Amino acid sequence: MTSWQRWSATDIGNRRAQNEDALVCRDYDGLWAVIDGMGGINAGNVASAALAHAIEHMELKSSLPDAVDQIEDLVLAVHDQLHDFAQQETPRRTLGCTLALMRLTQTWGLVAWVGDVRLYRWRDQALTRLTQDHLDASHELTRLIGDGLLLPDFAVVRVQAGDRYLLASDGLHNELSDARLGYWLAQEPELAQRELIAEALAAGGRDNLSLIILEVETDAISSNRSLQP
Amino acid sequence: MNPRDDLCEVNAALLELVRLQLAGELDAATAWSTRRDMLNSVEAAWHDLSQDLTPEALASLQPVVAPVRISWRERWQNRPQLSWDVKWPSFKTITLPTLPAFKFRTMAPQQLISLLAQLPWWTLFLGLALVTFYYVSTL
Repeated sequence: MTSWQRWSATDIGNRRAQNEDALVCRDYDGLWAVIDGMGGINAGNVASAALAHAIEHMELKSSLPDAVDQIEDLVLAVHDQLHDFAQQETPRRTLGCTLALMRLTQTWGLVAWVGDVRLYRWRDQALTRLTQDHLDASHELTRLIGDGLLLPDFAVVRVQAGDRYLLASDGLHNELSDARLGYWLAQEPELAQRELIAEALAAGGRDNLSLIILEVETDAISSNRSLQP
Repeated sequence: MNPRDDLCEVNAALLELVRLQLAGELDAATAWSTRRDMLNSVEAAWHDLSQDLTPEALASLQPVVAPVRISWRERWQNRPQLSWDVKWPSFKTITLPTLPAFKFRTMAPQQLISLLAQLPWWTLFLGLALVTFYYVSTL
């Protein structure tokens, strides 16, 4: 039986007037998401909150194809709502959010992402990034929930006992190298959660910072704090 | 095991289906049914699939670029435009209640207000300048 523990944190950073990131932690359902809103005052936080609310209240499907379909439908529905909202704003502006979502069951794991929120895996003392940023050569977003043509990308993963996963907004992974991320993921997750935020703030903290750390365990090593779906 | 059945191939196929849809090379219904068939097979044969995403496999994947590019140039082109589409109000015949037999063409007050609201901002300064000039000339 697979189980997991979760640590999460978010911080406004050093430069921004408000925190436009949102976290979704449905520990008992095995669903977590980091959402990075953008669009400025009263826009980015609206976008991220709208998506977070939808994910929080999503009734989860049990089969893999249904789970992919429902996440895609939800993302596209929020995309349309945000697009309509932005069109009604005067002056017209671009607002939206990016997303990385992970869902774990007793068999499969599923990753969905839009934009540059990332999912990393720490396994066998090696850090692997499981998502590909939707950025072009000039580091501008090519996909944004709320603007333009959109489809989320998906990946199916098989989790193992001892895996650690890191969902990180761009405010975090832009400040820290992969080597630093790997260094802290090798430590105790509680320490990693605290020190990753602190180190990113010390490195500049130019954007909002958000992270979720998951540690996968089996029954043999799980503690009372671990959760199962 | 068929090498096409491992998770790396599945994930590459998922990315490719999205890329083709965004590029307009595959319709949504076909992509959806293909994805469902593939994921149903993956779930049915889950315990026979041994491979996962590896750094080497990820590095071999082509970066997915959507045709949508939110560049600064496009943002500049889509910026709010200040337009002054001045339309002269239509004239219509009204009948004054105090002069029931006298009809003349005039401008409705609300049309005059809407016209003034549509005038560019510099006309305000122009008007003020003309009024000032007239006032000074009368001294």
